[in-house]
Amino acid sequence: MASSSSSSLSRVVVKSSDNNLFVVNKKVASQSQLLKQCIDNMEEKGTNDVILIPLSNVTSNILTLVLEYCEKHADFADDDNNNQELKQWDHEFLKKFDYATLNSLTMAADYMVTKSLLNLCCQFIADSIKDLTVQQIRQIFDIKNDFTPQEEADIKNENAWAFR
Amino acid sequence: MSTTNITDLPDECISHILSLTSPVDVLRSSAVSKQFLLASESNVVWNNFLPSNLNEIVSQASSPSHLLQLTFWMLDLFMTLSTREKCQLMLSVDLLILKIECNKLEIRFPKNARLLNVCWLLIEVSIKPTILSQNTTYGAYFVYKMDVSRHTGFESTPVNAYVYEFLEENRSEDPHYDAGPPKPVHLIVPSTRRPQEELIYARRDDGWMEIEMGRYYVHDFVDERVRLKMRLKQIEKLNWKNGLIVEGIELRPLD
Repeated sequence: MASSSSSSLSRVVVKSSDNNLFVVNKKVASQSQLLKQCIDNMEEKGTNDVILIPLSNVTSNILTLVLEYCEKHADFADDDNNNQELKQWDHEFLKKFDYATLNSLTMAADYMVTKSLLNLCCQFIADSIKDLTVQQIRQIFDIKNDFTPQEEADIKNENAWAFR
Repeated sequence: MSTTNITDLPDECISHILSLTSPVDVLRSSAVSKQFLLASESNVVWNNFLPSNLNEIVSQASSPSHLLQLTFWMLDLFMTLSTREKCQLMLSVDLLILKIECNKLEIRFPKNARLLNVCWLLIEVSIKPTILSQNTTYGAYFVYKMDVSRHTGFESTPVNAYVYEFLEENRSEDPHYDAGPPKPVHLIVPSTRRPQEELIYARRDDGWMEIEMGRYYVHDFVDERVRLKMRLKQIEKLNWKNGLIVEGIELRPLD
């Protein structure tokens, strides 16, 4: 009786946008505020059923990566954030990806509210933007220049010294 | 699977990314695309560059009660402050915009702002004219010194002084926008004399120099929303300028 009133889920099922199912234990899922919120809501309602959380914006290969990250971080959840081993792991983890994957991962981290992963991705992208010229940024990130030549000249003029 | 481009990220994400670069990188990124321009203008980005010890700086200001709001928007200052000595306002920056809103007639800068090296200079103060006496003409004076051992950049470049009023709701944050006509002032004797330009800086008894930025007449009725802005800027001639030590800006009745 007591257990049903304070029900507690041990696992959830997460569905990717391409309809693959991932069984995730609660501690890992809680790394994502979005999943945690869903779990908390269900627990409040006292549901004992395994819940299915559809993520319409995240494909299975990106979700695999997010969950890999969450799993690792769940292992270290009780440590302080300055764990060197974890930092090293984060670095190795991101290093493997091309920009397209990194962008998808950033988007997924944002959507799933996995703040530490989002910060990590943003920092990684920021570090690669540093010291680049405008042209290099466009090239590396494949960004279309949608300014007219005049508009672009005006912007550069306004802060001319930054473009020297 | 379609690949995700950085431009697919939400604007806040781009701002977040930019906030993790440096101020110069942000300005450069603003010319990449319209989305980047928008992201670069976000407060999220610029707030991140404020010195983390800003509160400390404000509280240590020589006369904290003089400073209602002190905002630094200083390029590279963040790094300079946090990585070099914590010596606030010993600036070595590419850009200085110092904005102060104040309720006193003597606006003193904390520990005498000393400019080590800047290209882009903008110092401005705004006050409510309601604190001034009515029917009185005030002169606004920029009070400063030049570092005797080392100052360059100012002998060839006059700076523009502005004194004008504006309505608070119309306040323009655009440093290129000025409501009043510029008054070019030479902070030191220029290397080449130009007779048509008056040299109007004066030495004060207290050892500082002062130069009149402009005059302002306070009418007998002053709208609550009116602000008086005093601005000193040089953002067109981008030579390196250094050695300027700023005491503050003083308003005093001329009669």
